[in-house]
Amino acid sequence: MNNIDKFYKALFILKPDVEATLSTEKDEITETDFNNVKWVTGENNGTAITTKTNPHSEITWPLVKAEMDKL
Amino acid sequence: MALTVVKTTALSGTITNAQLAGSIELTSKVTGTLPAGNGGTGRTAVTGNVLQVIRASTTTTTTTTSTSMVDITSLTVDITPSATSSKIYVIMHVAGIASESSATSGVTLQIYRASGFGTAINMGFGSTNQLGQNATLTALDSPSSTSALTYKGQMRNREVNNISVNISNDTSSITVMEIAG
Repeated sequence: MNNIDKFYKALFILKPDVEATLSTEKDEITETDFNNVKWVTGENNGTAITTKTNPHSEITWPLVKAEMDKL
Repeated sequence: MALTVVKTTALSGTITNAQLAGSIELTSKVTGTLPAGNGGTGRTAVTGNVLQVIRASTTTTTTTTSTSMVDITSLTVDITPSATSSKIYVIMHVAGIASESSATSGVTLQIYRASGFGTAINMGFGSTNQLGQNATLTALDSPSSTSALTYKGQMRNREVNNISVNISNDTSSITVMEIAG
């Protein structure tokens, strides 16, 4: 399992069915990458409405990293 | 001794090839517009001519679980048509399409213009060997505009798993061509 799959599995553990987009230049995922995640908050004519401000209080970088390290 | 005749008065009327022996200073001795048949700028585009080509590419990995369309990072290109009659031909190549490795997945890829033009394809995946799929989409747009237009690649997840593009340092690209209408 690559780090991207681990990242999303960690997200789903913390909040099932969360919708988010991650952009990376490398396999390693850092806190900077986490802070640039585009979180989907809604939809407008088929296009996602996104924000870089994390709207999910149950998802934090330390919690995500901890779950990734278990996988 | 042979004599050489030197003409000192200005030539007028039709000038023969024989009278053009030597060279002509183009920057100061020639005026007017060179016809298209002679390679000049007097040429006007005819229907079907390619007027401009612009390409953008990216190696950034974009991964999403979004079930509505999201932009593929940096897969975007701007073009300003030179005439309202022009058409825009779009070619988008998406490389390194991959799904989460242990589950059945699907993705929709789309060429999208902000003002509402779009064309899409759907791809489905089984549960193994998901790395390195590629897809190429084409679209022909008639924007009737001379304003700057943005064409971009978008994707959405059709199942519950994450979907990626450019998963292994692949290169995706989007190319737009203005076609004279």
